Amino acid sequence: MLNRFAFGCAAVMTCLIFSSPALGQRNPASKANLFQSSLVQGVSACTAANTTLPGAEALPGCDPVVPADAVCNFTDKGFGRLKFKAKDDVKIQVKIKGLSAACNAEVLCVVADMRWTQDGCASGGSCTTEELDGLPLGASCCTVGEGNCRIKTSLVEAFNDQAIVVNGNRTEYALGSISIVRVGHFPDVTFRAGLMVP
Amino acid sequence: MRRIRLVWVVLLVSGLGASGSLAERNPAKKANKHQASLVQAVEACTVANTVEPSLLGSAACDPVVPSDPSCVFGVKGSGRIKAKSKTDVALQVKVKGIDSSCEGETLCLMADFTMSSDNCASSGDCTSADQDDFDTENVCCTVVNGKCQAKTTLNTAIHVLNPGNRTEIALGEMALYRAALSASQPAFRTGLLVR
Repeated sequence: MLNRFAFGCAAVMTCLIFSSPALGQRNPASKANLFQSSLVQGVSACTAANTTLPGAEALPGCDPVVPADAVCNFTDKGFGRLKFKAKDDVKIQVKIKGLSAACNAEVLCVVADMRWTQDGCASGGSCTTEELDGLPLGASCCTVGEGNCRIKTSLVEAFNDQAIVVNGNRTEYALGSISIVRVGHFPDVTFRAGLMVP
Repeated sequence: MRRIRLVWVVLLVSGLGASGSLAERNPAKKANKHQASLVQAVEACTVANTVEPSLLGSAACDPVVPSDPSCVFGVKGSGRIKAKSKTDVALQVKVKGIDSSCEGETLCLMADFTMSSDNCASSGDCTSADQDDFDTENVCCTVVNGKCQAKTTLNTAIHVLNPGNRTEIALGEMALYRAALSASQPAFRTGLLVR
């Protein structure tokens, strides 16, 4: 009787352990392969509000708006977008058009606020990194020419074909702000992923 | 002499007008799309006890701790958040294959963002303070049969836009959190998966 009871308890415990996601278990998505966004101008942070934004919510704000980068801006016809596509590597694509003349010959690069979770850590298990803000995505950069910037690379290529992605180890990248920064001007961001309502 | 002074004034004024450095907004001609897949949200690593295996060998924490253990993906789970702007921002959230432990729960959208707009109370343009873990409150859905779908517009959910005012929204993390918990403890957040 006692044996049966002990076996029952063990079975229940085992079922609980394996069915509960609470116990450090990874439950990755079956797919999570796309991040794409338009770009908006990066502006300096508002730290001491002196006004409120329009709209019923009346968010506190700072007047004036201060562009974070005085050299690289959109002209009247400027716009941009970025796209990350993930499979066994992450394809990185950025297209920006209509940049200010002062931005010509400047180098723009992609940076990301992110943390990632991966199998095969040194501990033998899965692990999550610390939050890394403003992480440059290797050499995912362009030199602005005639007001245009084009980046087409992948994470592996941007890190010079080194083992930035360990294939076979599922890696989930949790993404925060994705920005375009001008080399030599970091941490101020020139453009950020976002939207505009005209 | 007067002429020279006038030239200086003209140069200065044209310099002011041409420079983006002097509080001038240079919005994009268009910026109307933002779309991201969702990954399971996990707790940030604060006291590292291992390193991850990539070239970067970043400090990391083992085990992985889901931020909301009750709402995670099942075997075939996936999701995405879509935002499209015109005169308002159309918001769409779709998640499927959510684990049965989350059935019946309400998931809501939160976002980190900064907004710049015309016609602030000061009469000029202004930028909002950074909005972290901003709880959109009304962009929510209930998990039924492992699925959760919400479709609304930004101004229906929270009235932050004023028609006719040009508004730029710089977006950071977007995530779905369980209404019973706080926005800082999301179940799913924007990200990518590499196999």
